[in-house]
Amino acid sequence: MDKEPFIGKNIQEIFPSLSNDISTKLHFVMDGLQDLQILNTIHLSNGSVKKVVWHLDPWKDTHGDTLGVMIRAEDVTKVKELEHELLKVKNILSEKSDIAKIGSWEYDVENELFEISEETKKIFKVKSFEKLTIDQLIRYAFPANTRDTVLEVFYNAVNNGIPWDTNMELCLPDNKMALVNTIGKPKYKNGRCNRIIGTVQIINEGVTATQQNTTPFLELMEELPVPALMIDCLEGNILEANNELFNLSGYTKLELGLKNYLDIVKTANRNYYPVNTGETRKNQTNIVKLLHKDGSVILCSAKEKIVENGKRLICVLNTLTDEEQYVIRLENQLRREEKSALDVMEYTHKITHNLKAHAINYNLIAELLETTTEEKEKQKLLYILKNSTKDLSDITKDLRHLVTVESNARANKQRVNINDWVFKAEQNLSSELKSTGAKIINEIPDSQKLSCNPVFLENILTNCISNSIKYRKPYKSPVITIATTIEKEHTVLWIEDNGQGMDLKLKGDKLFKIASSLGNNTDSKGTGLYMVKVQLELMDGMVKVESAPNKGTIIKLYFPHN
Amino acid sequence: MKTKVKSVLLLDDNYATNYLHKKFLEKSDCTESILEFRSGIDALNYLKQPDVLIPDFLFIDINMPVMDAWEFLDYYTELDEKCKTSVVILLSTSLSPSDKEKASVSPIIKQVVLKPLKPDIIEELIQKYA
Repeated sequence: MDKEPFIGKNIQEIFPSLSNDISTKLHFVMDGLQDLQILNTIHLSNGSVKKVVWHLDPWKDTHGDTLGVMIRAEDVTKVKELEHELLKVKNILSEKSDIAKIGSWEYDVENELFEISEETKKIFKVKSFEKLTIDQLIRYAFPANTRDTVLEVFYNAVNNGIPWDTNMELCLPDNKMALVNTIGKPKYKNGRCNRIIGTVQIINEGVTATQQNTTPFLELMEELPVPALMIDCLEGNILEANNELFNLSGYTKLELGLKNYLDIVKTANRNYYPVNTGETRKNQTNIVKLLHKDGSVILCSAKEKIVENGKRLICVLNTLTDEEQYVIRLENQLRREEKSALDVMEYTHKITHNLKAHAINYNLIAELLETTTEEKEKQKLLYILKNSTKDLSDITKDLRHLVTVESNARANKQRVNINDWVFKAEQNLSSELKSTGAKIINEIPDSQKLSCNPVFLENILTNCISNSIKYRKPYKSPVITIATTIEKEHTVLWIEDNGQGMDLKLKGDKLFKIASSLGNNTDSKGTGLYMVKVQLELMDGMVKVESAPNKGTIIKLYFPHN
Repeated sequence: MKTKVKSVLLLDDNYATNYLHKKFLEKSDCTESILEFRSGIDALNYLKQPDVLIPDFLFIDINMPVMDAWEFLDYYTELDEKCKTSVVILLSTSLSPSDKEKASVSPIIKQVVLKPLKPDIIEELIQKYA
């Protein structure tokens, strides 16, 4: 380029691509700003493009006054290209590693523990675990058919020092299958493999296990001639059910979808569901109660099987025939009778012991009375004889009571007005109530009814109130509150007192046992609460107690609605 | 010469039985003192006090309400080292095999005896175990 044509010309005329604000920038530099840079692309007449950085600096004289602006152009074409190239590579790299999702892990051979990195956690979809045992990991993430392979590569690495680079299948909790590549390398210390380090990387994921495995099953379930359903073992939620089940239970598909297995199926085993992931349970048959939408109960046998590595449970219900139901009822009845027979045996044993003790004593007292000449001694013996006779008559009263209960056991339940029987119990205990100044606060509405055996209700109320009086606090009149609450399956009768109370940890197991009175009280022969329990159980009810020393006692009597 | 011990403890919930046994113990003249209780809790509360003479012999009814003989003995042997050397005789109106078996494995129980205790039986037992 020649020098001439440029002299006297404005810089913008020579380089039109320079931005319009060049004059503003020149002014800035005139004011003293140093090394102002402008990036500019210049299109040369031969068609090529040059990247130029213009450096603008003030031109000063020896006094420091600004005379003008020095402009220097720097060709940065190559640098820019390199920078650009670098950026591109960086982007590709980060993209790649993002896609690659490589997680690292370390396995502590001695303690059999995995330590896993954040990315590994993401791959395995675990949040809470920092460390996992090999068993946990295998049960958690690997489908049954790949577990042996996993164990084998670990075994070979630890014992034979063989590293691995293998593809494996994972089955994750959200039921997605994923194919991963894992690399493991054994590391040595003192000649022994003490840890294995490695990586895990997803090759492909997102194949839903359900789609793969269960669609044929669901189709089959639809066709089954018996009611069947599928639940998830973790929550017990109902995932699928077939038409037979809708018909049997009265629920629609939509309604069942919102329910938990335990909402509609009652098993005797309380902590049946949810099943922990990975827990291996035996496939089993149970007698269960299916609750129909209308509230009725259908007895069924349930056959259950855990599928998909412990994640789901399929259950086939079979309604029991009348004969089968009859057999089950008979079996239950028999169990109850056997238990009650055992109780009665124990009771008989204790009563016999007591009766015999009395008989022996009478014999001895009679002998002594014959031989004693001292008047004072004779009086003492007569006093003992009298008291002993009272004890004996109490024992026979209890015995008679037990016989009454046994003979009443088969009497039908009636719907009775509760307060009529509370009144009867109060009458039975009128002398005790009077002598102790006891107060009964009855909160039961007069209209309230209860389905029960009235003889039992009278006995139960009398026994409970009598107990509250017996175990009152010394020098304090007993206050006994009687109330009812209605629960889903029971009417609950509450009898609360302000008495001595007790430590249920110490007395709890003895509370309803026969002939084991609670306190150090010579009035008690230990039949009261036992009879309460027996009579309630004969009516398919139950009894619960809340108490603490010096805090009084609450006895809750549960009467079933039907 | 007749053996005489320092102290005998009677434990039976039946008032008449206790009275009669006490009477026979006095008659047998085998002990200097007699302690008599109708419940295990009372007996333990008494024995818990400081400077109480630990009984040499204990006659205990097996079947008692609230605290039976087995439960009482569990607490009793924990009271004091000396308690472990006491002689324990269990009393019953019938010798049930299960009670006998239970008694045979307890090191402190020497014998299960049928009620009533008569002076000659008392003498014999004290001669044998004192």
